[in-house]
Amino acid sequence: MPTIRLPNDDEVPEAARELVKRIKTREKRVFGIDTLSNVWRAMAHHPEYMHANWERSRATMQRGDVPPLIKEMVASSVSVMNACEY
Amino acid sequence: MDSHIAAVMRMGIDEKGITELIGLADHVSGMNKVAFGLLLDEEDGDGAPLLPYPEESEIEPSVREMLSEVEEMESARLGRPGVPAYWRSLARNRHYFGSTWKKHRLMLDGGVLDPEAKAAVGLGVSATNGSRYFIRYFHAALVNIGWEPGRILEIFGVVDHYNSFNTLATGMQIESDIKP
Repeated sequence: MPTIRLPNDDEVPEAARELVKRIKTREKRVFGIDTLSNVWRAMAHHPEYMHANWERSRATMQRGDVPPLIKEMVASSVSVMNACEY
Repeated sequence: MDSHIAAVMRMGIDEKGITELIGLADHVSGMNKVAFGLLLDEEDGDGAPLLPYPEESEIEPSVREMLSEVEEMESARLGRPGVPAYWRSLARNRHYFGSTWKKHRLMLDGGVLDPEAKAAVGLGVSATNGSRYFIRYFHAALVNIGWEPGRILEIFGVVDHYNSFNTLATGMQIESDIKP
């Protein structure tokens, strides 16, 4: 169970809705999913925080010279080290 | 990890590759802890390694042969001559040294994943674990294959961002919804 309840689509604050659309487009491409993933859904409680993390996500994963596969492999191994199931 | 493993598999890496990737993280993490425990970072400062390096007379012939291979392979990897302190430290125990070196060769140079990606993963794991010795080791390996500082900083960006997201996902106990 999550620490706090995740917002459903209707409960996402207005200030996060445009960003949710952009994140869903990205997640469709990377993961092949149609719904907003739980990690971003959790952040939707706090649109400013969600925006800050989206900017960092774009900056670190979608910009630069290192191929996306290498970046995803590094992200995977960091998550293994932190025993983060998600 | 589920979501990233899913993304990596969508980019064409199969189950063997994923096993190798997690095996690489396990291997580097173990080395990180041993380098820390043996105080190998102290070489840069005032202190000395925890255990003395073996004298020539203490090294068994089979180990000496393997050390030549280590010197050759690691010089090529790191772009500098000599046997790294890590391998010199292990050399007084031929079983431990031999099995670790063989695993190292497999995890970094053999198998199915790209060696360049493996060096980047090694840096990411070592940075996450705070291993000064292996941060320098994998940094040297990446520099030796032509990575510029800006490219290397991108790896730290990924390390930063996902240490951050891992904390968020764990702190909020978010259930995994993206499976490989």
